[in-house]
Amino acid sequence: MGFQKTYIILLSILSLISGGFIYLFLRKPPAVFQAFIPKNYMTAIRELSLARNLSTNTPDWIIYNLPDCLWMFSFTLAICVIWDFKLHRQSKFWLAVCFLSGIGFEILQHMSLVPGVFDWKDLIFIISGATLPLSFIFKIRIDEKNI
Amino acid sequence: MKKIFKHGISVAVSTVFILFAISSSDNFEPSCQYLLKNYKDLGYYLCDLLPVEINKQNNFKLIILDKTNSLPVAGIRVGVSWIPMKLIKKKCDEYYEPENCFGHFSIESLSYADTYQYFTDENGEISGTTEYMKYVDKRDNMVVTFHIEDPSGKYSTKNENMRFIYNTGSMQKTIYLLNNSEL
Repeated sequence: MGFQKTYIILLSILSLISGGFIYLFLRKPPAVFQAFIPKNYMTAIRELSLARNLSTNTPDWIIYNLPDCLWMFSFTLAICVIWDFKLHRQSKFWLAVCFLSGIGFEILQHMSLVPGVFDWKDLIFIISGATLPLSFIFKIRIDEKNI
Repeated sequence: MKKIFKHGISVAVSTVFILFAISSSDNFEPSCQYLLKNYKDLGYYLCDLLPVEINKQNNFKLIILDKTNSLPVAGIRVGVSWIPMKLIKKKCDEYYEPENCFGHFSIESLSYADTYQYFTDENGEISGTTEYMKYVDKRDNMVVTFHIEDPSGKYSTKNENMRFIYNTGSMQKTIYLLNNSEL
């Protein structure tokens, strides 16, 4: 399990980084975190993005919805790894925190209480992002029952 | 003990992910209280909110005439781009100075600063509409810039601006071009 755990942690980090790259290379209005990236790096990224015409050649769902899915997938996966892919009171609490924070952001955006634009597609992608790691838990449980 | 450690790790991981989600916010609409003067200065931006957000396109018409004889000039290439005035004032450049753009999207555009190419017709005219713009502030200004170029080289290249505010429906502008032979 330890060996697998390393891979799963890497997968979680990779998903988060992939979402970040979509923001950096494809999103037009700058995200707040870009302020922490050195200016010359940001300029190089923008020039590369412009030169390759990346944002116009990429479907909208990849630019606007996939980052949410990757964020949720990465978050849920991280919580699953911490709690060893086991379902009990404590892990359920943290999985709920993770799921509700994803859904909650969208609801708060809908109510204009936090910055951002509410989108039903975001909700669907967030739920999909959470479902995949949870299905790992159910698969592990089914496998354990069969053994 | 192990469970306390796991709870601690869960708190840390959740904090990181939630902070990441907040820092990925790229839209400070629609309330002015989210508009920052710039990303280092967390002071509130003063604005005069419209009672209802206005989502509209602005129509423009450009007439190009020869300065010497006031006759219409056909076949002039006109590139059109638009940008919220606040971004110009803040020297915001989406690609090269993105840090100057934080919190300054009170006019929201689906395709911010898109450029289309037109050619003037036999009456020296071009007309068109901007993309849909969402105005939230009465002081919102959107600037449409015409990049004028004569492929034949007979007339000089120049740029002209037209400014729209939230209640502007359409605007017309006449531009006189100087024939290079007159220079």
